[in-house]
Amino acid sequence: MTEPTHTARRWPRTWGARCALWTLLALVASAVYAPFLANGAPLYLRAFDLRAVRSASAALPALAEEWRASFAPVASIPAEPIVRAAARASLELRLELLARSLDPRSELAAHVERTAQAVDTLAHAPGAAQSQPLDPELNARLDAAVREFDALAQAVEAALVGAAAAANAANTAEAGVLDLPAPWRTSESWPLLASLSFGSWWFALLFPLAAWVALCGMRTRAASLAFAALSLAAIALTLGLRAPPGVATRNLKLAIGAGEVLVERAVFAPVPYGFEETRLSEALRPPTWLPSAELDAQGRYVRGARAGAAGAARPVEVRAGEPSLNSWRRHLLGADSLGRDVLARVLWGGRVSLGVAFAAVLALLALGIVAGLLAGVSRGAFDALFLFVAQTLQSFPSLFLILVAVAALPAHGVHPQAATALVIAAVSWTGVARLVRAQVRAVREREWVLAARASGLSPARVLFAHIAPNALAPALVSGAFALGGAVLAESATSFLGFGVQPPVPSWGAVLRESSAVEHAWILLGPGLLVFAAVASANALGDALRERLELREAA
Amino acid sequence: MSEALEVRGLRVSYATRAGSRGAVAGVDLRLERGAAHSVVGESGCGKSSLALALLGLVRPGGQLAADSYTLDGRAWSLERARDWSELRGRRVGLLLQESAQALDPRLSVERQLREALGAAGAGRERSLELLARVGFDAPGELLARLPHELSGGMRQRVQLACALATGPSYLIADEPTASLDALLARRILTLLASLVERERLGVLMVTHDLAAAAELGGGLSVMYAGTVVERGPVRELLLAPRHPYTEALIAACAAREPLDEPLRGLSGAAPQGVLERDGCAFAERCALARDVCRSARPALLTLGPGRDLACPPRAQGAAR
Amino acid sequence: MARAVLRRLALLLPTLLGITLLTFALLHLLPGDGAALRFGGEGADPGAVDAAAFERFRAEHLLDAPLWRQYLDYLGPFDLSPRGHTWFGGSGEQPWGGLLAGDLGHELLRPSVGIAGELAQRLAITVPMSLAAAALIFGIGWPLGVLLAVRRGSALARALDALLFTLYALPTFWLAMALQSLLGGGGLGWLPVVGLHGRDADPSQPLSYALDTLAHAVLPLAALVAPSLAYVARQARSSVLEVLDADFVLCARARGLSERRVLWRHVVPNALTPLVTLAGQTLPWLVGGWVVVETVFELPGMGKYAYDGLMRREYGVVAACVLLSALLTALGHLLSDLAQAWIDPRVRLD
Repeated sequence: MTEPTHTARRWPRTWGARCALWTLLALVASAVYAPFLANGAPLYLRAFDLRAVRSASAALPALAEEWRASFAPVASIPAEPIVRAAARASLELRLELLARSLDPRSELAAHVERTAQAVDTLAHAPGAAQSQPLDPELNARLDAAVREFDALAQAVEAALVGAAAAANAANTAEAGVLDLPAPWRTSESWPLLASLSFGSWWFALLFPLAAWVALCGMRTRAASLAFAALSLAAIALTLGLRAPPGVATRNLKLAIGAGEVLVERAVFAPVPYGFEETRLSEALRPPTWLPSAELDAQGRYVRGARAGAAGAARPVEVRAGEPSLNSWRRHLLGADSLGRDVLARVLWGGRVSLGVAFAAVLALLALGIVAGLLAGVSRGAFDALFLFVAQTLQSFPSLFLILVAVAALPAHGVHPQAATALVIAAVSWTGVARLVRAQVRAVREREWVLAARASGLSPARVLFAHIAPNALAPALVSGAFALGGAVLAESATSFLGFGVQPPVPSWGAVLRESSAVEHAWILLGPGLLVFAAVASANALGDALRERLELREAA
Repeated sequence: MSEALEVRGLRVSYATRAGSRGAVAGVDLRLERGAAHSVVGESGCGKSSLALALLGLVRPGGQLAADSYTLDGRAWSLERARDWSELRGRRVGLLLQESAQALDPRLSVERQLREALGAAGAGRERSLELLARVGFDAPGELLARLPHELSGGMRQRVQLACALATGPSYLIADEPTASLDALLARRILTLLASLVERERLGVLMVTHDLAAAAELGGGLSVMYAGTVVERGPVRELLLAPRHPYTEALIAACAAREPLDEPLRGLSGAAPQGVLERDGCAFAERCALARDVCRSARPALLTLGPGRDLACPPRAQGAAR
Repeated sequence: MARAVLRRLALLLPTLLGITLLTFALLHLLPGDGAALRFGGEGADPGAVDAAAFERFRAEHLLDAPLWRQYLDYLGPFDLSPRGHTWFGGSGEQPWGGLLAGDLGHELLRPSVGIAGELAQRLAITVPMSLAAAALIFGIGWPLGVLLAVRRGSALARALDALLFTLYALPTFWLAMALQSLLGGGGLGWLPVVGLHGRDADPSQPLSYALDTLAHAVLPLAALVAPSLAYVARQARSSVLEVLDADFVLCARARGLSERRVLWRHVVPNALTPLVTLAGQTLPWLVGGWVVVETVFELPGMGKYAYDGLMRREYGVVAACVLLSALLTALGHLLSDLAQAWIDPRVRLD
């Protein structure tokens, strides 16, 4: 009369279930690492950012003029010391802001910093606040500072000209080393990594740990230590790699294309597109490895149903880091109606679809297990209430409820994806709860539970230590199947237009694009992924159920 | 003409992922009409497979073969389905262990019996008669009841009635007393014994309970790892066992010495199914094991009328 | 038996009440003010609205009344608006209203259209399709499950199993779009993919009209039925497999019954009980799954009506559709419970 305990997980033995597990892990990996796989920002960039130089060169001469005017006794500027001081203070502030907007490692920033310090010293010199003529030494120093400032502005202009010349020579490609006039030089940066949030880093670092635990198992203590270490690493990476504020990391591709960033070497992600990067000239282009996707230099289709279409042509803009116009790698899954790369959207869409699905399953398991446990051990009122609520909820067609609720909640300030996850959980928890309730009822009359109660253990302890572990196994099986269902529900919801706000992609939202038959190829990518996710979840559920049955039969 | 069910060289094996595993390895059996015989062994020795195989039934994944199958003097083919359908029910019946699933849960007792009686079951008369045969005093009250409304012992008897409904001359009972308490078990065994006596039914009972075998009487075969190691009249075997395994089995069940002496167990565990190696399957646990035991599987030798033994060391001793 | 049925019907009432409560709650969570919508929709010039009419509308539809009052008005049978029943302070012009009086309201953007009437028209399409779908799902699914169980391990069973596993994991909307693309106009062109009737379908010629309707119904039905069919077949298979291993089946075989007799007289009846429960559980899906299919194939049924209502913020329409489907499902559950009790004498209705 021994109590069967729930043993540590061993691995599913059939190759089908292993295949399913690997598929699911691969899908989750593609979602977790999507920012690394598909991103418009380059992973590594060694370049010279002309944009900062240009903005500085625009600002500095004006600043220099105002600076000069604040010290020279001019009729237009009022004589009151307070006003002058205020004028000077505002100049200093703007200088500081300019310094902050530059890459602190660049020479430009160093220049500006030195000038600002000089200004500061002079502004606090005795006699500077008064309107009376300054003593000649001070005046000379003031003049020197002003000249330095002027020189800075001119140096910037010169550098601009020189760098532009260098750019023309080097053709803004990653060809060799840029020959920039001294003391200007290129700086290295990691724009893609800098753009990642803490959440992205955290998942990216913890995923290998999770996969290891899932596949090989790990001792709890080792796992906890690794978890803590990796979390700290994620914090460090987020803080350490973040770009200084004001340094422009967005739209680098466009800047490179416009010649505002001179690239010496740029390494892009394998799919060098952002999920919201539009390009109307390539709207609804089929996958580029198909012959019908070929475009000529004017952006017109060469063959197939769309060849010889009348109307203005739009030459396709091939941006930095992208494969050439008719390369087979350009759009592996084609482009949607706004010219966004479908593969990029599908990879990022996985984050939403899988994220919502996993969150929904966690929520529904939590809710269902708690409700089921309570209903199972209760002897009257709670159980009746539970049955009433469950019956009412189960009468509603779930998709309807989800659509209505997902349409309703964001208006009350709930994030759309959280709303979707919550509603899917709210609609599906009754199944798990009923299962757990039935198990608890079956188990609570068994011998070992009676023995536990007879030995004086409190009801709560009996519940958690003895009843719950044995009643939970079917809930886990249910959870696996619920994962598949949640993915289907989320994609159906976003397919119908609810749950995700554009431009955020999700697998269902991408499928929404394929409205006409010519664009049927859009169905392939997301459809395959949804199918893979649901099928592997189902296969895992089958495997878990078999193990459960074997264990019970033993 | 002998009225008996005789089978020679019965083999049952199951297909598993690791290949084919034997459950019964070449057993000879003879069951006479009007006689009872028990087959005793631990779980995994193949006795259940043997019982079902006599009706041509195997659990999923199983295969059965035999050198010969003779019933009432006529040879039956194992391959022909028609032979089996003629044999099952009409010649040989099956009684299984009592469980919630032994009777169709949806059907009332009356319908179960009618189903069993088939086309020949006209009216309630036959049903009442059957129920009376299995010892019910007020069968009329029982007809409308559903299986879950009956107690275990009653269900077992209804099952027996269904088995007898088709008029078999032989009955195979697979662990019929396993889930019954001692009193009910005794009732069933007495019932079976009386059927053997009164109606000349040939009963083969497969059980792990030596006491039940003793209660039923008749012959006893002891099985180990898919073969019969000893056979004989049950009383004789229990009082004077020859095979070391039989001795150990008896010693583990009941102490003949003073009652405060503990039951003696045997170290190790019985193998599941037939062992794929030469020699006696019991050799590794046997104190008497010799080279001759390990080199070839011992044959079942006849020591006397109805008394067989498959143990070379003891057989030699007996011969001397 | 009759008493048990009546008791079950009585127990249905709290569930029905719960359904109306939940629907009402959802109605109030949805964004958008009915009055604002009626008087100009999104982005209309607020100054152009006739203030008096606006206020009157609000008062008439109890938009400023406390929630419990709104719920009671919604439920009926008394109308609690200013023109409603005298017991509640109204003028007595329209004493009756609400769900219990059969009033589902009017569309906001087309005030002359009664929702109940429109819904009835839409149901005339959705209900027969649902019945056809149910017939296909269970009519094919159950026997297929029995076949898979009986012939487990054979090549046919393995192939079918793989096919069903695939179908089970395909999203309905994807299947609908794929079928539309593949078999419809731009693809192979075998079957029509839009609407329920061709443009030149002539109702006066019943046979060709019926055939035309049938042709239009094939793809939507296929898209809806396929995944559910797979699910039902797999459930049926596991249910039958469980029964196949039971002792009484072995006994039946031992008595000399042919496999076929054993199957149909003993195995299938015992395997039916969980399948009937399953039938009850798939009902909500049958009703709700139409939203996707009708939208993709543009069928004028209840599902599309609800979806359009949601998009256009016609929440009265959405509420009516949700309510109706929940009602139908609750009734369906009751029927399946009764059927289960009839089949399996072990199940008692109380």
